[in-house]
Amino acid sequence: MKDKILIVDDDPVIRKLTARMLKITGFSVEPLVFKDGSEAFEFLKLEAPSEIRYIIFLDINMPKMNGWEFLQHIEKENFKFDKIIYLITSSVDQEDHDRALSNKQVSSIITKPFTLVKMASLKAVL
Amino acid sequence: MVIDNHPYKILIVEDNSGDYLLASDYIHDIIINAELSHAKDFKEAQNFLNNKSNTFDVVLLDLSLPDIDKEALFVETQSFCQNLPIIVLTGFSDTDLAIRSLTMGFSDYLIKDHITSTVLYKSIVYSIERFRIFRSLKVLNQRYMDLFHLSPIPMWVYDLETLTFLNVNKAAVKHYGYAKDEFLTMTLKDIRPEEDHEIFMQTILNNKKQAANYFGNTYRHLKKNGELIYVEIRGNVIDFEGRKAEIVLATDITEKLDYIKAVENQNIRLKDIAWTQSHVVRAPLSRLMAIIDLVKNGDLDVAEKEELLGHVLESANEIDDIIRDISEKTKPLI
Repeated sequence: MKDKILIVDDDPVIRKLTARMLKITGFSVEPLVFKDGSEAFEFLKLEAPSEIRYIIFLDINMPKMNGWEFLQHIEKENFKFDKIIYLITSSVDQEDHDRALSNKQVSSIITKPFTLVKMASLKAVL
Repeated sequence: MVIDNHPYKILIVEDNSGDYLLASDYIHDIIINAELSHAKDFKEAQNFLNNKSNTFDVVLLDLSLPDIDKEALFVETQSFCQNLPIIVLTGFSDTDLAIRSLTMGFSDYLIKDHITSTVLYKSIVYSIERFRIFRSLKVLNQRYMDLFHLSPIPMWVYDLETLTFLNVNKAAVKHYGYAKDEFLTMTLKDIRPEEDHEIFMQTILNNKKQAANYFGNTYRHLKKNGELIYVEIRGNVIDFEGRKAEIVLATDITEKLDYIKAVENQNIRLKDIAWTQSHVVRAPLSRLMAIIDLVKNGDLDVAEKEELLGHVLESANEIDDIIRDISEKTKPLI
């Protein structure tokens, strides 16, 4: 099965850093970048092929459509494709972490900063 | 017969020398060391009583004196009753007047024809003792009145049935702006805003049901100038001149409450600033940490490192702006 990687973050530097880390840790596919949940959701709605696995690095705080809203939308849409969603947040609030853990669509929640070590450990279990 | 050795100093005001001798004998029968002084008319009596070197324990006063009529004698001698006990001596015909003398502050009255050594002795000793007790009660009463009137905290006494003010102290007059006379025509409802009347009456009913002797609560009161204040009330049920009343201490806690409210608001704002800023600060900070991780462990070429260094500066500037913003926002709180 083919993988596609989506980086959804409003911070252009973070998008660039995450892409760079992916490359260094051995992800061979070029990631697709989106500046908010709405852009990423529209992209998935147009694509939505069932034979692709989507690995999504999703920021929580974004304008227009934030991470939580994005999760609601894709749940409602009931996409047939495989997906692994990593929720990325600057928040150290327990409340955000509990909310992420109770959401079945979220594979794990990662507190920023995103580092090479964290990226490598994700790659290892894929 | 009982003998009393105490050297009582007694002034006998009596124009009839026979009656004086008789009284003197009766006294000496029992009070063997009695020191007697004799005033033959009202003028002499006045001289004795106004002379401060004379310290009498008791005065025996005949109502029929040559230089003053009975009514005037009452009026003139009443003021002396404040300082020492005066026993009125009278004939049968003056019984009504003698009884009236008791309400005017005289200690006792004796009908001359009924006087014996024992009767006179008993009246003298009782009068002296009763006067002593009354005087100490008066001192105590005065002390309690002073405590009430000189208290720097507003105090009042109100009728538990009618809720009318029965007495108010000077601090209450000063604090609420009503004159004492005004207060005494008002009820507790008049110092409360209209919208609080219902709940206030309910509280009064509840207090009655509980039959407690002590009450405490916080209420809103209105001053005469319309200013609304918050007051902590503490009260005790007392008997006030035969009426069931409550004595109340009313402490104005408006300033205290305003202060607490200001501190609470400040806490909320500080918490809000702390929460927002910690989240805002974390964005560039985590970016910086990710960049450092990449530079350190990412095996980057010079051009890439150069680019990331540019982002380091951007993130550092962002943090600097945030910190300036925090200090701007906290300025009005200090």
